[in-house]
Amino acid sequence: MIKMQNVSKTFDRFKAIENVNLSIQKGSIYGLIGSNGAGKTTLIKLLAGIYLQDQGSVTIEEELVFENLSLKERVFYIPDQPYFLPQYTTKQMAQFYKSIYPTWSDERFQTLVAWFELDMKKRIHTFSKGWQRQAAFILALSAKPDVLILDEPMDGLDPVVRKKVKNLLIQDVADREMTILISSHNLREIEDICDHIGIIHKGNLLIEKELDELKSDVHKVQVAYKDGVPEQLLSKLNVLHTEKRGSVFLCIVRGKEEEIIGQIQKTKPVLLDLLPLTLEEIFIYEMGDIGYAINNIMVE
Amino acid sequence: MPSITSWLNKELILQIVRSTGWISILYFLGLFFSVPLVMIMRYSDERYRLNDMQVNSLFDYTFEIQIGLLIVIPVLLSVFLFRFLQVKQSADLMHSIPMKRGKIFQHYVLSGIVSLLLPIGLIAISVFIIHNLLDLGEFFQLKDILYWVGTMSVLNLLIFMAGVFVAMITGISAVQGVLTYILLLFPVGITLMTLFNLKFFLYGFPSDYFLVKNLETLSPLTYASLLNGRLLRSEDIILYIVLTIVLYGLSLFLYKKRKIESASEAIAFPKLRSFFKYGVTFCAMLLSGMYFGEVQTNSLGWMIFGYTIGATFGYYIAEMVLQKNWRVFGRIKGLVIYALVVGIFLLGIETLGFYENKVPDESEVQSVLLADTPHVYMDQASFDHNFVPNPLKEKENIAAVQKLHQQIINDKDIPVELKENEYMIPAFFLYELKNGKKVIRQYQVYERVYEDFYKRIYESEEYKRATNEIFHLNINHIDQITISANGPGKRNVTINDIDEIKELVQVLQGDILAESYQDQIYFSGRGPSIEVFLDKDHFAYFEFKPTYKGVTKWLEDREVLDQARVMPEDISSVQIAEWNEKDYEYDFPEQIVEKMENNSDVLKVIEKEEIGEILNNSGWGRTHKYIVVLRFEQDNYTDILYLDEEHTPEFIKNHFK
Repeated sequence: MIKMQNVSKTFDRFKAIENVNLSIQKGSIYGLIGSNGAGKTTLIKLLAGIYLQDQGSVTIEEELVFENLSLKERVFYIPDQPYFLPQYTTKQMAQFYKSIYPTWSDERFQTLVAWFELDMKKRIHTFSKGWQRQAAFILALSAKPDVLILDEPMDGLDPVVRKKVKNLLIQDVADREMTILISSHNLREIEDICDHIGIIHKGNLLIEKELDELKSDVHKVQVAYKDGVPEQLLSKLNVLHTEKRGSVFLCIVRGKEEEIIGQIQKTKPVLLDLLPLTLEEIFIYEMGDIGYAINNIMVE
Repeated sequence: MPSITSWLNKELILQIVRSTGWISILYFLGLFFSVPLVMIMRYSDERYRLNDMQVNSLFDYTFEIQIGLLIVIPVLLSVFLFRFLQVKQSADLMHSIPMKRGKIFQHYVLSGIVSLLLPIGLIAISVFIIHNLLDLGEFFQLKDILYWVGTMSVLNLLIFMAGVFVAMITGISAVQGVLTYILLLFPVGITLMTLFNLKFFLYGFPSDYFLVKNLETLSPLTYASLLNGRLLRSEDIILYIVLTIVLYGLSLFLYKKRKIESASEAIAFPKLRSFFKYGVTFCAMLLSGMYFGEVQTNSLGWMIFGYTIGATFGYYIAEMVLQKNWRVFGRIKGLVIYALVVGIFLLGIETLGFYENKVPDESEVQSVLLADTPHVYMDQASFDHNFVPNPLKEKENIAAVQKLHQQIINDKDIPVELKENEYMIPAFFLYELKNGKKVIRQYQVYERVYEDFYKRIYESEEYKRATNEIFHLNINHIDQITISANGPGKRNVTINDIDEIKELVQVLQGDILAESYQDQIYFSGRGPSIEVFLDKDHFAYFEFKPTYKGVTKWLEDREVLDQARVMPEDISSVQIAEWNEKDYEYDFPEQIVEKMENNSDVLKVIEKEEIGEILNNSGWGRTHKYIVVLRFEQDNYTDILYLDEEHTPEFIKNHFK
């Protein structure tokens, strides 16, 4: 269980994050969404024990992270731009990490290198950006951490590799109950692997939600009537948003699927369709005014 | 020691060696070429072997290269070692891994220490081997090698730790390098600048007195640059080791406190930023004040100009470094506040005048030293025989000195109008008070204004005995006294007999005690000279003035007076003209003679009696009434002397009436 309580961090009078409360369950994949400069990296570096918060506490399993050796041995951090010791090859990096992370597995390393078909005797800084990121993933997963912290990990990866990496991550979560914090400025990029989502905007964590809960709770309905929309329909449903397109009436409704359908069918519509919502739409409709602010964040 | 080996992380050390090992190799090669190789080269040249191999210490082998390496390598190493802290990405990497800050720091610093000491040790071993192979025992010993290793190690570690300390404070590698050298030179620089500036602002501040006090030992860099001429003293070694340890502790403390995000900030600790800004402003102000004060002596206007320019420059440069941007000219508020504070402070010391007006009360004074130079207590180590005058203790003299001192203070604002051939002399006061404290002051005065004050002091027996070296010589150690006249020929008299030496010294002492203040000045510098040689390397210089009746008679009795001074018989003729500044100032004797040829009103004297009178009365005194050209019989030689109104013989006055 990772917890941040009332955490604030200031850089030279510029408040990077303010009063953030966040909790990540063990074995979950937590997606941290925010635009550039929202405070994602700061939050992540606090979790990785690089920065020290000015206020509040950052804990993993109720222990403070900063300068906590036994805890940090179980945490691995991949920065937004993977960085390696100068002139090092993947193999040398592996030796370096091996000397530092007690959970390091050579076997895992060999397997992953083979699977990604990476030349581990080549200096990493000569690799392309995407290959460097793959090397970083190989090294991180070989360290077998309990907590993996990834800052914008999908940048520069092609869809095939992206899929590969996602599978690996999910597999580790399933096998070892690894916890992952993954940040992105793009919700669509990570929505398929996250089970929890937190949205950070201007240093504040706006919401934190479980995805399944969100998805089963909000529905997009398309209906059409011969003689206009009956008055009683809207009053009986928890409607978040309505829109009229010609004679078709579109609304976003919160509630259980069967109940909504039941209610609408009572009013005898000519047309009734239940459409899937993207995560993006859910956030936008769910959150009203703030949602529109978030909309700007996510339309990138 | 399994605990240490398991504590050490070999991979991290390997990483450090991979990235900075080249510095160690470079250091080794540099030292190898400048010490062992040079040794072999000099040895192989048999013609010069004896001469070239003779050294005071191993630093004498291509000292410049050794010292260059000593100054550059440790700082370079500290910059490259802690590069990881100044680059955001590597700082993030190094601090995300499970390793405590203290451990990371120690790995880097210890690796640094080893990379410095290893080359030095290897060089020492190779020198030792060469020493044995070539049998160099006659040139240097094992203890010289150990001295070299010790000195190099101590200085290397101190300079390196200074670099590490600065690395903790800053977040930019270039700034680290520059600030390290500034830090290392700071003690010398700030002392120098403070002394110079106080001299301008505090009337009577004895900056020269403080300046001679071993200033170069204040910085390891300046100390190192003198290593070929002097030994590193054991107290300095201890001081340097203590400083190294203190810097290590401070650096470790700061490393733990340091925020990783301060990589690429000029100053890593926000609280230090204003300190840095105003520190730079202040130092630049002092530096510029010193420059303008020295170039444009004692001009208050230029001083203030210098301060303003310096402070403004310093302030904006510091601001540019901090903001990493040169367009910072809008940030003027801090400068204005600084200017106000400095202004009020300076006005305060100027108007209150605690320092300037202080003349210790007679009842407090134990003794006082009055001298015409602030260098009475020169560095005893570098000058073997330096005569130090005694302070005055008699009540009357102390009172007279205080009177003079008070008068100088009272005259502070009176402008001095110097005549063309006159200059100011230093007046140095050193009071020892009964409570053990000292009051020290130094002024530039126009001595003539204070003639009456000086006369009373200078003519007192106590002063003469206290300040004239003739009263302080150990007569039994005198080997020989030589009196030399100026002018051509064989003119000198040497006395070797111990009884005669004793007699002559006594006679000379008597003459000096009888001498008046005016004569002392008027006749000084014209010769003949009396040189006293003691103990091989010590000699004292006195003058044989025409007023010294005792010495004259003593030489006459031994019939050597004509060898010891210019006699009328040596002179063929004397030409005298009225002194005119414009005509004769700054000219060489030949030119003066030439000018006199063209001068219509020149008195030519050939009468021996009159020549004798002229020789006894002319000198180099401060005021010139007539200029006298002596033409010697021999070699067509000429000499120039002057007469003032008081000493001019009647027949000359009559001629020019």
